[in-house]
Amino acid sequence: MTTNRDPGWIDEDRGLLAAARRGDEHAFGRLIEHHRGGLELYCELMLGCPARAHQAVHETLLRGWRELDRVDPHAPARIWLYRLATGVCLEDPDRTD
Amino acid sequence: MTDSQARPPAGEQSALLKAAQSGDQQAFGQLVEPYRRALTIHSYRMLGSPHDAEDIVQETLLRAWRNLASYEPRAPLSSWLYRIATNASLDEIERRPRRPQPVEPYPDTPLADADAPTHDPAARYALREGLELGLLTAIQQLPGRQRAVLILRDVLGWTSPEVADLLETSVAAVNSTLQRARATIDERLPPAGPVPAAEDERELLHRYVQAFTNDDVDGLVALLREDAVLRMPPQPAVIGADAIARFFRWAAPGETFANFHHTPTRANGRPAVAIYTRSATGELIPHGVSVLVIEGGQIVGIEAFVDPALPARFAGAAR
Repeated sequence: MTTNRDPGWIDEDRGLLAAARRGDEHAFGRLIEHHRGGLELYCELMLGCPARAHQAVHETLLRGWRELDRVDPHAPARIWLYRLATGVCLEDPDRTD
Repeated sequence: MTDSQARPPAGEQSALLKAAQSGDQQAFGQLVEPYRRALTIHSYRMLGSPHDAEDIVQETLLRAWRNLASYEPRAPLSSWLYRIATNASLDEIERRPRRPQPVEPYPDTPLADADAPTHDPAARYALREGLELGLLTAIQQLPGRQRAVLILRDVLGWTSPEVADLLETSVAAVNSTLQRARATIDERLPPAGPVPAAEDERELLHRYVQAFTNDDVDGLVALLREDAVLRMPPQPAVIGADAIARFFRWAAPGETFANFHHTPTRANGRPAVAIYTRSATGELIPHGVSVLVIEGGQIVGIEAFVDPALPARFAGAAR
């Protein structure tokens, strides 16, 4: 972990993920809020297009919500969300690779 | 629910609920009003757009009203409303997965402050000053996995073990993918020219604002590259420095630039202006935000977002 990763939000993420898995939508929303800016940026860099990045983040969110019950509650939520986003971006039909 | 609005005491709430369940719309309004703000915030988190959030709250309350008979008071009302809002948000997302969304500009400040995940000072490529267009283009040409590894490691500053975890592969595999990606990028990128200094950008932004203040059409044209493009979705793009200047002159109240009042700010990692129009009585009316795309000391693109709600969100984003 690099220095700017304050363990505070990692712990908070863990709590939010656990709560979201228990069906707490509010917690899921807060978890998403933590990462939305980063995910938008990541998808924009991956896709080279802000509009498609926005859609990709929505798709990521949707997948995340659907597979909440299958996610490892001890794994960092951030890596899980970026993994989903990577999958979404690599499947983007407007790209050839 | 963690919000702290005053809510009617339990007894009163159950009386309101009973009345609402037997069809009293006004009682329903009183019942749900205390939750409205929390629901808006929740919907905003789900959708990332304040505009959509308002719509979703309306939809949520409509669904709640229609299904009020099915609400069991054993569960807190807040949980029930959150569930409806979540479903309404997800329905909205699902409804429009492939329609290109006009992206709303976001102020730099909240994004920059939004936790660590976006950015790391150790990253190889600087992010905050805006990635150079050449780099962006080069990244786009990498194969998918190389692209992901390079962005995560060198732009977002993740560690190799983190990237390995994400891609479900080994650290060695990540490092070798990274080496290949870097080699390709280094090959394609022209030798590192001077990165557009923040100072130069500020100067250009200042001259842009001045050109409008002084109703200086030639001054504006001089700042724009000849083939600059003004994008203003959903309108068609305006192409060319002269055409853009003519367009602004035509669009300005009283057909003088000076009736566009600009406040310098930053948006989407770029220099930007919050736009106000001056009414006949001299009053400043919020109009929108323009993001400037700068290359080689000239403005090559203007992304204009016309929405009176925007200027307020950008107050204080200037750095």
